[in-house]
Amino acid sequence: MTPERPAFFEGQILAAADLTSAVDYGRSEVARHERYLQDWGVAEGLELTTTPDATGKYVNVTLGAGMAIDGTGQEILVTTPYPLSKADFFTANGASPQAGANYPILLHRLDSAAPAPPLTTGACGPGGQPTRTQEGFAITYGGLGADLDLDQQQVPDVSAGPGPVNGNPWQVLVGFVQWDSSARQFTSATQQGLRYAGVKADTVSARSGTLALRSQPAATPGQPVLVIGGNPLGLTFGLYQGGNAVDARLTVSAQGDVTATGTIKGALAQGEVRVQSGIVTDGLVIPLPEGITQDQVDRGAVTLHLHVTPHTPQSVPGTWYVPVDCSVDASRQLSCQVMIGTGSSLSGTVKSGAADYLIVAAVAGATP
Amino acid sequence: MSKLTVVYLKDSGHVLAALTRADPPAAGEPVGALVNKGLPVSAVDAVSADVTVPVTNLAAVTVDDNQPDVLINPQHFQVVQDPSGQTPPQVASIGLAAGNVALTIDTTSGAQVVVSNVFTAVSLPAVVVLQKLASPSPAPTILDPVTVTLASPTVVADPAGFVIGDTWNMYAFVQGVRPAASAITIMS
Repeated sequence: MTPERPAFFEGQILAAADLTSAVDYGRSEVARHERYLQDWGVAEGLELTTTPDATGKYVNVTLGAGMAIDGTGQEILVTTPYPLSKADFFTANGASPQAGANYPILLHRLDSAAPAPPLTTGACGPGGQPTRTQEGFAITYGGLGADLDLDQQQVPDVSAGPGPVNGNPWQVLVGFVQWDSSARQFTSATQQGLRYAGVKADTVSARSGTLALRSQPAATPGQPVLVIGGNPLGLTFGLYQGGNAVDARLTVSAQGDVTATGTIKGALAQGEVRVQSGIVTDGLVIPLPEGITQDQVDRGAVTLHLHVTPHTPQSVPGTWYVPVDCSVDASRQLSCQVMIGTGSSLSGTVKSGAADYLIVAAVAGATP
Repeated sequence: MSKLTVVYLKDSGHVLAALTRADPPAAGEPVGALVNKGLPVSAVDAVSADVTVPVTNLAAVTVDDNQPDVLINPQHFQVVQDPSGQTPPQVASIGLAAGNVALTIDTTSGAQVVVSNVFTAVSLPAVVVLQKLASPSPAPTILDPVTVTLASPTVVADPAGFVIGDTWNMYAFVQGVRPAASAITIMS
């Protein structure tokens, strides 16, 4: 339906519908902005807090004040802390929920007619009409798994204003509670896995010349930040220090120079050499250096240089030790035999031995 | 500090091979990356043995490299698992000598294993390998894991197939005892 903006003229007699349409036009416009340019979820507060009850064994759970945006584009405002109801939980989930299981607490917008103030014109008698709508909220004590399909809730048509579709209010997860069914009491609460409100944007631009992307609302020392721009121009990943300064860990300059304070792993650079060394016993495959795969070797992207030397054990007085075989096959499997004898005898026992190995992997070219 | 990776028999814990390196894969690795399809073993105890233990019978674990003797005599060590799974597997030396294990083959009882002088258990898991000496050399048979009752003979292979005059190499990997091996010529 094409949106209609109310228009007025001098001398017009204004009906209630005219005034209501003026309000609805603005509400719908805001709702579409929230729906299509924001990502629904918790926007502020709405923390679940627990306090021990009188027995000390159970807890009372309170939903703190805050705001969420639902998927229809309307705000859900909790203005004062709201204690969760054990009676309502019991009514919703029955007598025997699973012990230790997390039961979702869901929040949705609930509008209701505000009580008319006394002595309001038209408030008396059977024809009295409310003149305000309270934009309230309601809590749903969900069953196990009720939080899993919240992403599948039905979004209103593009021209529609805020509010439920087909009478189904949009639910926002604010946390989970655990329940003792014998005592009919809450035992704990958690807010892991909440969905927070976000932004849908294909372009994000900064006016100061520096765009920062961080993982917490405040620039907290020790927390990561990604900075684009700045002076000198570049891309920087680092950790906040005090006073919004960034301790850079990885930078890409405007010229394309990459500087890292840590180790770069993963992709191989042309001409790069990686080395592994150690001791290996008979029968084992010489391991490849870290970051080198057999597939890279098979494709010829990496050339291997392998050197093995019989590993001479610490000498024992009266014994002698002679290498018999020390070689590797095409699959790098070691064959290492040694003969160990005693005294002046020229014969000894042939047994498996060990070898010192050095394997060098040289990257022949850029690898995909 | 470098790390020690040992390859061991899954069913008995006996270490068969080992290697050290500075940077083992952090996420671990399949044992097949260390042995391909199987681990060739050329000697068990003092008996020559050309046995390739299939990769399916093997496992690998990586620990701190603080036991250099593992690289000299890997078969003198075993991998000890924590039954509760709370601590990682450990590589420990095997104190009991192979002399505590007697191996026999005859045409009446078949192949038998007798473990003696072990007081910490009444039975132990074991893996037994049989290899007939012939030319050309046939592939050894790695028997299914068995449980050996202490101080009494445990038949690991029935008499069928054993012929007087044949010589067999027999290897027993009894958990907690060093690998035992014997070249046995069947007399009766």
